[in-house]
Amino acid sequence: MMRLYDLLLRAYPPAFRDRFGEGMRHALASDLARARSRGRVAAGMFWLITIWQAASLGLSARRAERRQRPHKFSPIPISRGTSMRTFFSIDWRDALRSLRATPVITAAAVLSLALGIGANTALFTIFNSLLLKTLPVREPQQLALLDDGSWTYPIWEQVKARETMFDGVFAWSNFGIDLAPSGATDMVSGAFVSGRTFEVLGVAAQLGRTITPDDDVRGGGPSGPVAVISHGLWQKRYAGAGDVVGKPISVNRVKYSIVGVTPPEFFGTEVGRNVDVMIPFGTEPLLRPTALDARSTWWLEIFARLKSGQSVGDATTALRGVQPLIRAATLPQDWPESDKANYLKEPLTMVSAATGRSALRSRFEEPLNVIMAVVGLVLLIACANIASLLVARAVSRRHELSLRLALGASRWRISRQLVAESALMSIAGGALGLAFAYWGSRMLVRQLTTSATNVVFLDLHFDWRVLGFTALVALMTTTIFGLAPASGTMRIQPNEVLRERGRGVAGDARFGLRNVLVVIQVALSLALVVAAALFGRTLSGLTTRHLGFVPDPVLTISLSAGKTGVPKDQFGPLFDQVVDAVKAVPGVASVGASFTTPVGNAGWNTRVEVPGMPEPTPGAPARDGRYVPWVNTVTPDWFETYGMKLIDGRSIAATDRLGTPKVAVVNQTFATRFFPGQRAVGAHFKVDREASDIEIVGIVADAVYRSLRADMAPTIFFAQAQQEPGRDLMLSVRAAGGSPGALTRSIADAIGRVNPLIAMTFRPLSDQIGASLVQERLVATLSGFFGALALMLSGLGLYGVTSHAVSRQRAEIGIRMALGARPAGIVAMVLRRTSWLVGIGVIAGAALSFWGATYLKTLLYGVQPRDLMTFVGAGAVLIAVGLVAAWLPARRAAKVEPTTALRSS
Amino acid sequence: MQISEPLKPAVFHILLALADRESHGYAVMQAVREQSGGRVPMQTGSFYRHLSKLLDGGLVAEAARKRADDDPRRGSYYRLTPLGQKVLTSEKQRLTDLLAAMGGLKAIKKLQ
Repeated sequence: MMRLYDLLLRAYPPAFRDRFGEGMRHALASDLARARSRGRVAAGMFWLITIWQAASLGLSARRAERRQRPHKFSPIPISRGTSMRTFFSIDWRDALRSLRATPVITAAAVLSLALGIGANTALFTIFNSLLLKTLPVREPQQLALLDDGSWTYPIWEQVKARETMFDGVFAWSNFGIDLAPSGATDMVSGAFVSGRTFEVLGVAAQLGRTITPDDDVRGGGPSGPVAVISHGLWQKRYAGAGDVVGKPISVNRVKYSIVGVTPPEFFGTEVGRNVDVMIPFGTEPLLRPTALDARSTWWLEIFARLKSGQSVGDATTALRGVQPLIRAATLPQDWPESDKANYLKEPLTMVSAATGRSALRSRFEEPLNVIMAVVGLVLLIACANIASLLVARAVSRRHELSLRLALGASRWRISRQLVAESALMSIAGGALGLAFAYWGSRMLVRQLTTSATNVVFLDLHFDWRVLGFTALVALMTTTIFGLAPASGTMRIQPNEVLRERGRGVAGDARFGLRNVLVVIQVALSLALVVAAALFGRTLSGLTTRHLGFVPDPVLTISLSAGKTGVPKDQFGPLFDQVVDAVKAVPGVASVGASFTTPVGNAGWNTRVEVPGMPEPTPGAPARDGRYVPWVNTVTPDWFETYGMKLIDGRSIAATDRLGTPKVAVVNQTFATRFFPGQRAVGAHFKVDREASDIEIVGIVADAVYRSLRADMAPTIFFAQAQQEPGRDLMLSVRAAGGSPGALTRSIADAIGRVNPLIAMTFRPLSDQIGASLVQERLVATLSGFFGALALMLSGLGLYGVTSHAVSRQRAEIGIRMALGARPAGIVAMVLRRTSWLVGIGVIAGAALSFWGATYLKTLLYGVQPRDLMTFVGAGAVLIAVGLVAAWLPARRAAKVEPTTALRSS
Repeated sequence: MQISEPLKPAVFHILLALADRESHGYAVMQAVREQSGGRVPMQTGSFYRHLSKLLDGGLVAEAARKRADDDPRRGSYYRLTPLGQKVLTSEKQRLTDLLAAMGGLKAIKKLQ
């Protein structure tokens, strides 16, 4: 943050800074701390005031300083030359004065600019943090990552044995950590790290020590299982206590001890995730059936620090040299021969890891691109609006400007002042936009976080890139909207001052320019309204989509018996007890257990063999979704809990247990796809690699399995009791009424009484469905907001252009009315003019949208990109806005008294 | 610069805050905020602008730093010059006279 002060202090003259710099920095820091303690609004106000004061007082201090210096040039401004000195000394003052003379236009322009620049900067801040910022570690550009994605632990051991090829290597694996010692889970983001991770990264502990190679020994080193926690967790959970080192911490119900705290800026190696607890790989066997020796479990990332002078390419070459040894030593023995051959051949590649890696990048790249395009268009519309306001100003200042020309001012000098005015507005708009972006980017990132276990964390502090981007955008806007009025001055004649004013009839060259600007605004706005409507319809289509089940009020509970100490063959009876206990809780209507819940995180699909099954389309992928059904395993009450209707046959029954013939309930799509034209109940099928036949005993109505966007897919429901019981299970509880969240406490108590070591995570189903739509909701909300903003801006633009034209035509209108024109005729005359502009704009906008909409295709659901109704509706909205914007000044014109109009001109 | 009566409220408050003790910039700002009950807005930028004018006008001067243990990051310490003292006293007198005149007016109104 200190860097922002320094930047602001630069607004003051150097002598002033030398004299007061220290004191000012101290005062700003103290005030900021005070403002922050009073909340976000106070902090925002602080920055606004500080930026404003730096701009205004810095300028006046510079001016005062200059006034004290003796003048080298003639003090008469008009005869001065055009040296840089005069450029900086005179024009700004005049520009400021003339902007103050028209406060409404200036405020409107600065505000629309601030919104435009702010939206762009907010988006860029996120881009910057996601894609451009380097990791906050020592010499991040020296970090490299073993491409691509995940590796097995045996491969890591092979690389580690050859770490002298580099300046150090380390491995990292993110995973969710439950901090609760018993009962309901308390999830935070965690990671396994190898012994030298912190040393190679160059991250020192802020408190205590980091993890060392001694700790990274199977089963824990001499200090036992140890953990390093983040600065954030230290502050949040331990209130920054100095004695946190040595305290115990429960990691997935296993006791670890805290040995250190990482510095505040360190968040791990994945951009978008803030890792709170880091533990050594060696302790992984304490937490779960170990994967340390598994040769086909891919779960960690391998990083290297390059030697100085070693390029990423050199590192790849070095690694390829030993690749055969690494591959051969880690070959998965049970793989088919062809896969083994591929495994040995696949080349190892290093890529730069200066900016870390990120799962968010790919997930949000497309929606962020679309929103970036949207805010870019909004900025263009804002620019057109401001240009149009400034042209209006310039036109009404013709008299003043021609007077100045007549008195001997050069054209160059006058246009320079107009450019200076635009530049001042850009600076003000940019500064205000920065404040808007600070708030906007944080709000946006909060929207991306969908649950406690999936907190999106991005470092959104402004750096030189963001400030540079804002400056560049402000500069670009100045050029775009500042040149229009300046170019107009080139045509002003000095003798115009002698002519009478006010008799002008439409036909002014700059009206032509304004008309073009308004047409552009209408066209761009139409494109934005079309996009907003398409995204809005996508979201509403998804939220109102027929689910096939009733989501409210259902509570889902994810159970894990992994740490209960109960032997594997007893998981079944244990979960039976849990289900019975939950059933007995007052307020619970029904309870179902399953492998996964609808719209859940887990999916399971399998190939099936049906006698006489239609062949999949030739050339279709082996796992074509239409022929590879989804699978779930459920208890008898599961269908009732979700309100899913049985269409034919029977449901899963309590008598379907291990040892009885395997049965399945399938959905309607399965029945019609695999048994077209026949009754599926009573039919048999086989699944992948299993010998036994499965009998279909019932058919249920179709329901969404995992994604709201997917079509209804064939789905098989097996009996939960006929499966090998696993250590994890999903419970779904339908509440008798009211909010399902209210049952959390009593259900947790009931399960705790069965076994206190069962880990459980609660989540209302409606929550989970909402979270699965975060991307669609974000895009729809933002495009809706900016669409409305664009409409407002073009409404303003049309209003301005019409009312200006009307005021220029006052005399003409007065004459017409004196000759007998009716008020309605005058209104029609004005509206006709505006309708032309809107009409051309709408047609151009429709063409633009028709071309652009296809790029949105992958983000849409249930609506075609070139949907006729959407286009017609958006056109109608724009025409309505245009008519209202034109009708107001038209009505005013029609009320003009002919005599007043003629007399005043 | 010209320092003329009546003084701007902010300038008056700065002089008042420096009347009985030398302080560093932020302490003066805080004193002004407290004295005026927050009615005189005092932000860093505007405070140092006023201060630079007062220094140039010879009403305020930089003081030698008093305590060795003080945090140097706070910047210089400032004190009132005899001229500043005089300006403050005369402004105080002017305000007192003004108040007295208002009291007199009230008294006259009551008589009527």
